Amino acid sequence: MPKVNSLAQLQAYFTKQLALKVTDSSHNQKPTATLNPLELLTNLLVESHFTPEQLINIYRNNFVISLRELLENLFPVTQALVGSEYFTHTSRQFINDCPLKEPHLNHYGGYFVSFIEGLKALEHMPFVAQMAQLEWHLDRISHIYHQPNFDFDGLTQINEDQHLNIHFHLAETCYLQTSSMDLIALHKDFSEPKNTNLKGEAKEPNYQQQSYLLVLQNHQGESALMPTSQQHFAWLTGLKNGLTLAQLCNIENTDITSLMSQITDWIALGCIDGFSLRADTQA
Amino acid sequence: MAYEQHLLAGTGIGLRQPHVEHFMHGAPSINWLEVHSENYLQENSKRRYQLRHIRNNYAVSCHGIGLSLGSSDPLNLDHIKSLKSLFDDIEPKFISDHLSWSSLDGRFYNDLLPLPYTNEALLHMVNQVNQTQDILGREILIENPSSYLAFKHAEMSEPELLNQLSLRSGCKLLLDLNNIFVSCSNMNTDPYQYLANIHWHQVAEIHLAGHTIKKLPQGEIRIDTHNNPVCDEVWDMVDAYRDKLQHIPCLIEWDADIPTLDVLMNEAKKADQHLGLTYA
Repeated sequence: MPKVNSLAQLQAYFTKQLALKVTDSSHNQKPTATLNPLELLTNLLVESHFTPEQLINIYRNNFVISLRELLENLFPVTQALVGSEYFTHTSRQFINDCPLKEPHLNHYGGYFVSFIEGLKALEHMPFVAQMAQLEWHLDRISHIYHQPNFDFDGLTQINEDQHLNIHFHLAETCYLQTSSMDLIALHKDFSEPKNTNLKGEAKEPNYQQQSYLLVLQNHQGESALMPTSQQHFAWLTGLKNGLTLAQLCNIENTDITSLMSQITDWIALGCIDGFSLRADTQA
Repeated sequence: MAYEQHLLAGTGIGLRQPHVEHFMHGAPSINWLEVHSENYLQENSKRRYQLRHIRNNYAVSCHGIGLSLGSSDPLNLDHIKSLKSLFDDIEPKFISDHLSWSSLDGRFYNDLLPLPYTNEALLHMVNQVNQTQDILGREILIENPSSYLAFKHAEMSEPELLNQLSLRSGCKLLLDLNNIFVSCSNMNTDPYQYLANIHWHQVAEIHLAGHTIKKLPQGEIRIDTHNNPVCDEVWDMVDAYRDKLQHIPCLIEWDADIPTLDVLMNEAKKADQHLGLTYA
């Protein structure tokens, strides 16, 4: 009869063995003489014509593959940018270094974005982490239930002398991002087959352009990418940071008429879903 | 028809994302639906909204993989609170999880890990199930997992543990016939003996699913993948136990390589035929 002191001890052996070989580099890990989880587990398992390592590997594969597939599904363009081999290696490293800490997968992709942002190997390619961030928000926004229901009646009841104290609320289905690369073109080109001209030759794209973009939920409830200008981006960022119309007017080159026209468009697009009145913020 | 009037009877299917639109814009002819609880935890999600809509037409059950009841970690109260909120919202006819563990020291493995069938594990499961049912204010169903290994120091068989767990905690059993077949094939034991040892009055739901045969150098091992039709051997088990099974709600589970809704509905019809509920 093998010696096992408790359920907790058995589970500790089991998880130690599961955690080995999650990363390629851990192939070289040598268990210490006092705690070799495979030996300890082997003594506890009913004999089978499969080795204990093969049997544990079934459980290890189940959880590693399920998490890797989750990341592949969430970040297809990021994967295309870095290549499948590097993505697989990075995913395994992430699964090992940043284990799942919740009994569901709802936030795990967000932690992967932070992990990529911290990777030294990608320091000179910041657009990879930016793309991962973009894909994460495309997915998040597609899952939010959002029914635009802007209170136009309430807005018309605000006295004209208070208009500049209005703060318009950015919807939770609206996400802003800027990059020194043309993220929209990158996203399009790496999620679709390459463009070809009439002679069948690939076009040479220029991705080295500052871009300002927003992700929003369209009227079909799908997330969509939309380019925007530097000024509109500044206004939207101001709204996100809680600025009133008066404060937005202090942003360089702001013209109140074009700002109001743009706000009307954003309400129609569902980017703005409410408003509140702040204490007098006029200069 | 009010939700309370929808019955969870006959064969249902697992509601999967590729088929949701069919249920949002119509009412395909299926007896009932089961969802994976963890996919519907977010209150302001589109999925939760869709489920609220779909439950107007169907009885719904919630099946989970995240409670990790067999873990020696304390229960994850935040998770149970989220589940309670979902159940209060959806009012599922059944809620269920597994005779397994999936976490230790706060790390989750997203799989159903095996328990040793000891008295200690039984007492631990009884305690965990009792606490969970007390917090949720509802009875839960516990499902037998697929096994690829067994522990030497086991003191009872899986059906014995399930029977005792149900008796002592008041939970009901969710019997997965595919899992029984997979486990018994892998452990070289008799699935019919397993079925003979079950206390059938404690069984509230049946699962049927497909699995994969993996070839290793020493031979074949069956893996619970839910990516295939139900195999002939499992249909034979259904036929043999028809008299007991036909009174218990039955579910077709298909979670990977998900086919069209028609294929799933045909698999459910096939189950109804095997159960003697409809005739070919």
